[in-house]
Amino acid sequence: MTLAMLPYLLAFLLLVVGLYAVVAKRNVIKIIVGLAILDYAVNLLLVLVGYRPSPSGSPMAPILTGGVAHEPALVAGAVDPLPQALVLTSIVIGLSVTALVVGLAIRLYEKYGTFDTERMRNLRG
Amino acid sequence: MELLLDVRVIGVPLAAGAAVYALWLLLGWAARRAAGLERLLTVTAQAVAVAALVWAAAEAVSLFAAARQGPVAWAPTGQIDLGPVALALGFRADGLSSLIVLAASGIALLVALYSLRAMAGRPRLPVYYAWLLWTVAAVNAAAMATTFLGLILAWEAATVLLYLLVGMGRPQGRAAAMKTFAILGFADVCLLLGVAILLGSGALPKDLALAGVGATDSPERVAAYLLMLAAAMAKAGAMPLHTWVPAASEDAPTPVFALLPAALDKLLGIYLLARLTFGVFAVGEALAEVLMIIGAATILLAVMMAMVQHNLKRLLAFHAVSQVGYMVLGMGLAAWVLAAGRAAGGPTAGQQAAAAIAFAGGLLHMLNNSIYKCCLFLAAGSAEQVAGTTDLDRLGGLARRLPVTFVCCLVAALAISGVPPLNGFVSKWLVYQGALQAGSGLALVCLVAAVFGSALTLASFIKVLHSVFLGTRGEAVPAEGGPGESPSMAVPMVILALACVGLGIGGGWAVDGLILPAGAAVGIQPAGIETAGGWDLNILGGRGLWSPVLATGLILAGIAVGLVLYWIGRVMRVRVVPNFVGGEDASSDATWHVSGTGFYETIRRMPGLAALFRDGGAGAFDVYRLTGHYGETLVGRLSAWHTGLLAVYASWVLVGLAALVVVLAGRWAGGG
Repeated sequence: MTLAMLPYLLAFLLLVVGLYAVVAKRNVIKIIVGLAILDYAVNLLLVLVGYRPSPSGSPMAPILTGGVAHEPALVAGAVDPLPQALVLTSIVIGLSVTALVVGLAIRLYEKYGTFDTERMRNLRG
Repeated sequence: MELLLDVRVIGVPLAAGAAVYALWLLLGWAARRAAGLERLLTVTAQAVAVAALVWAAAEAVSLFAAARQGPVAWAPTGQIDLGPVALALGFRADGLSSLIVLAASGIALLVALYSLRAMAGRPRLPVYYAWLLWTVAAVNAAAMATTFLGLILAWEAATVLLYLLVGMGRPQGRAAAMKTFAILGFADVCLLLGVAILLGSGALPKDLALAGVGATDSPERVAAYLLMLAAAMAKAGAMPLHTWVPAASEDAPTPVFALLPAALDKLLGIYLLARLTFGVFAVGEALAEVLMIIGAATILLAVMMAMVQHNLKRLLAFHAVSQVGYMVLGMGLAAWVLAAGRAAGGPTAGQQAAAAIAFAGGLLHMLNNSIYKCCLFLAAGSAEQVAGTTDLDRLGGLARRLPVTFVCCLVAALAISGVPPLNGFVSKWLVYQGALQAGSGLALVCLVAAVFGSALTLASFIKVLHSVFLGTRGEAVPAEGGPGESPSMAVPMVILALACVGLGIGGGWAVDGLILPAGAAVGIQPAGIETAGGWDLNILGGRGLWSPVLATGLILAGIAVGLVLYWIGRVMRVRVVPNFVGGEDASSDATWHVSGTGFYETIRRMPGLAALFRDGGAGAFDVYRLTGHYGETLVGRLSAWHTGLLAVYASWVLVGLAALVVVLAGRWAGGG
């Protein structure tokens, strides 16, 4: 266990916190918050996987600013742009999922008059 | 579609049924308001159905005549290539197919004639005739299909139509219709699965042609054969998939039952059995022994259940099951003899003769059974028409009111019991001869079961004849007035009864003209049976001889002697006094009615049999009930897991995900 693993462990911890909320909480709103935390944990993990320290010490964004002449330095030092683009998409998807789930929660409240999932037991065999 | 219309025996009933149904769809809503229009629609439907069936029967006769010269084939449709499998439809009529088509078309015509009166007054009559016509088209198509695709489609159509027709009966019969559909649907899936296995193992050509596959020497082929066998057995109603037959019998309309389970389904089931066992596969000895055991067990167990029934239609339904046993036994014997011959390096002439005899017996029994069983059900329908019930306890004394029905029922009952010179005797005799010639211990055991079953059949039909037609008037039979014999119902029964007599006396002709060409279509050599002169059947050069002219002469002479004795008794002026039992006049209808239902109650209580009857009555041998019972237990377990709590479901998802991760990680680590 090296210190380099610590960010991943923290991301995993965040994931578990989200999962706990989804599985153990009774309130639909709290479950939605848990879903959001799960979402962010995954996003964070992906960004962390793409990180690498640059030769200059401070992390370098994968943005080509100073013309083509700077390209070798960028290739040598910038973090991986692929997870960043992916996570950008994922955030938007997460937003729309949250909007949908909140919409469903509002319908559930209209139907049952509560956010408590233990009172919504129509699936019971 | 053009192909279906081009094959007239399929196209004519199909198009006529579509026309009737379309007419009903167009004008049905108006007809429900105006009684006159409804009558007009019904009469049109009846006229179209009878005309179409007459046409189809005429086509079937000419097709049969043409098929005697050699198989009649139609150009198949173009193939739809789906990669591993190509879809194509094709039809051809060889000896076996044209026999099935002939019998199915003829019986359907008779049942349609019978239905004119028997089904009168029921709602949605045009729909009934449309379904009837489509059933004929489906059965003919299944019997003539050259590809498994066409066979399965037509087979499934026949199942669905049977379900719909059974459901036309009394409302309480819906559950029975459902059971019919469940069992037959299961069997149809088995057929599909069998074809899939054959295709997957590379034994079938890509276009699913109904062609020879070869010996059942690999596990896949054995499995495929057994699966397809299940479909044939369920359709024909052999044990253990027979239970839909008695269940559906009570509430289904009687003409429907006379048409489908009693006749057309038997034709289809035994057709597939013959095709599979001799045409597609070359069945091994063990599988042939399975067939023989199924046959013998079906004969004996079903007839014992039939003996103790209290409902006429249910009793006949158990006989419909029992008779299948003879057909399966005949086919099984033939398959066993051929397999034994192949194992010893090619069947000898004697073995081919034995196989031909047993096969001819089985196939002829299929034809005979569809004739007399149809006749018996039609007779039951006539009794039901008069009395409004088929409960044997409440029937009685109908012979005076329905003399034609009584005579037809008597002929058919004697035929099913295998009394010479009727047709049932000829086919059973051939099966017995086949069992004697097979030369195996199991065949002899089956022979004993078959002969015993035949005797029990006669016993239970004595009960039927007494309970329904003889004795004093039953309580359900109106004393005076009410419906009597109806000509349109009597004519089909008379034709069927005459066919029973004709195929019995002309046994040699029947085997020569109908059965041997059918056997040749699936590779049975017509050896060992000589039909010199057309009337006589001579087996193995004199080891067995059925001479109907001589036999009938002797039987008629015996009856004449009996009559003479009877008349002598009359001439001797015996004193006749009214019977008094317990101070009551026993000849009076109102006070003294002895029902026949108690005839064989004692066998229910025989040691050893008592438990069998109790469990059988409770459905312990009913696959459908057992499946339902254990299925319900299983579903009860599963439904207890449904707490309705979101958290529990989420936990299950999590557990599943974790298991998936572990498995995938393990595979990834293992695969490097």
